[in-house]
Amino acid sequence: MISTPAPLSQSETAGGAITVDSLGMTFDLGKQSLTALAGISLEMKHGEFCSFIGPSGCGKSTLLRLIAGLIEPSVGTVRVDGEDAATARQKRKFGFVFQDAVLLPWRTVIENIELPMIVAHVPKQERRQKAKDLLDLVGLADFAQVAPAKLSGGMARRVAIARSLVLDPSILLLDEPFGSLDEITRQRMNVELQRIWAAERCTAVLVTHNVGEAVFLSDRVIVLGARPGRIIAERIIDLPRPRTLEMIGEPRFFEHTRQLSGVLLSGAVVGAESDA
Amino acid sequence: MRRLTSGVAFAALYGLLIFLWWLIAYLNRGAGSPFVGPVQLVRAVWDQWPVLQPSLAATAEEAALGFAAGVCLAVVLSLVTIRFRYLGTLIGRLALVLYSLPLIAIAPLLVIWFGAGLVTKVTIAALASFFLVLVNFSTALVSTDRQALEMMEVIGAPFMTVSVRVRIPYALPSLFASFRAAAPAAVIGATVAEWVGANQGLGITILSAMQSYSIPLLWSSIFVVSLLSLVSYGFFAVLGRKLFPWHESNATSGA
Ligand SMILES: Nc1ncnc2c1ncn2[C@@H]1O[C@H](COP(=O)(O)OP(=O)(O)OP(=O)(O)O)[C@@H](O)[C@H]1O
Ligand SMILES: [Mg+2]
Repeated sequence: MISTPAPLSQSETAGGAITVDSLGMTFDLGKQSLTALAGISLEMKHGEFCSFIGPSGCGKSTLLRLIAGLIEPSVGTVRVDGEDAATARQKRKFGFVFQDAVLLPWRTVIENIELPMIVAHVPKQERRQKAKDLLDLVGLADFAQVAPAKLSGGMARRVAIARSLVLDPSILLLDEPFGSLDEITRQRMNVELQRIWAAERCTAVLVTHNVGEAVFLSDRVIVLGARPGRIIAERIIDLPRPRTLEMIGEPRFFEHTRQLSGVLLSGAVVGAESDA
Repeated sequence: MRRLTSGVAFAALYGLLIFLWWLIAYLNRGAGSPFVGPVQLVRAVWDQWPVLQPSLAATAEEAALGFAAGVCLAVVLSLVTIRFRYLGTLIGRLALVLYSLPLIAIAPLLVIWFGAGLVTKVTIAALASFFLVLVNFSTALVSTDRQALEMMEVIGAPFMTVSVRVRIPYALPSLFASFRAAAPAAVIGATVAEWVGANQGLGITILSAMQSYSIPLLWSSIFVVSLLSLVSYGFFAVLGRKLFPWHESNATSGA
């Protein structure tokens, strides 16, 4: 579908799990057009946990959709393990946790988790077992037969995470998965997400508004600026793993969040003048 | 608790209305009065039941067949809209034109085409219910939550699987909600169709009662028609609640 990008062949062999090259996305809005993303280039290693933070509307969700091959970029390319994004999606390499939990309300919790396996024709026996294991992993073993409407917001998120893991994705994409939760629940969920990510050994891409969350979870935080959405800064988070909630109070944690908040603020105010 | 108080409020309201009804009929009592009180009405229905019962059966059959035909057509055409959006818009426009024709005006035309038999009534009842179902169901089918569709795309679900597992189930509560409006519409359609020619049916009892100035029969026929409409509404309301307890329109008991 996408024209094969000749210049990228060497990074394909370099084994980057995700390679994004001068990516741009412009939406056609009839009379005018809206450039949501421009000139995004980055490389993500296998097993890396990478976060994007940026102001609302800067194109974070769009970027995740592009990486998952749900939409086609206007310019540039996305390669996943050397293949184009749509091909990787068809091979079920992605787990995607959407901004809303989007559990199907007529299916029980365990049936929701089984759905991807039904679509992928996994045998019934294996399906049940796997779903149970994942419910264990997200700490909801007792809620298998419950209807999604009966779950709290945080529990629904955990089910959504379990569902996204069920086909053993090599890349986990998370779009503000804990966006609407209170701070304490969010921190608890962050600890769980870190544990799940470590257990599954997948590459993770997290989109969030919350600087603390990004620092807590990530190996690397990328700051996006708005209009058009572009990378304005990048910061390696070298805190030891596993990270604990006690670390949040430490000066080195605070230093990361302070620096990132500063960039975020300047990016939101200054706009296009920041570094390229 | 809340339900109980609202139940009491409703009972009180109905009680008041029935009292007012009784009062009007009482103030206008006398031979040949066009008003019939609640007690008289119940007695009239009881007395006229041998006439009303076959009429009710006939109208109910026409309405049910028409409703079924209208629903089948509407559902099939709605399902087409999932795959062929443009065709769907086209069908929607055509259906609107059809719906804007007054049924009472098409009825004579259908009598000329099909005669005054069952086909004409069923067709009118079908036309009356078709549009409501088509509009509601086809709209619901194309307004599935974007993220739910993307979730299916990420797990590599083919078109048919997405339709069967996500699109259609999400649209079913809307389909049943449209039945609640379409079923009474089919009853009214069947009754109206009888006016332009039929051997029996509640439309016919209404007409003949009017011509013979038989006030109790007229009122009891009207009563039975509206009862049939209400029962058809209630049936789908209850069925919808039973089948889709997860849908927000069924979360709290409204109507
Ligand atoms: N399908 C679309 N058609 C047209 N415009 C779109 C579409 N999707 C996104 N946009 C526009 O692209 C811009 C970026 O949207 P996006 O949802 O990616 O932002 P975001 O960073 O995820 O915001 P938020 O943090 O509020 O979720 C917005 O201005 C939005 O209006
Ligand atoms: Mg978003």
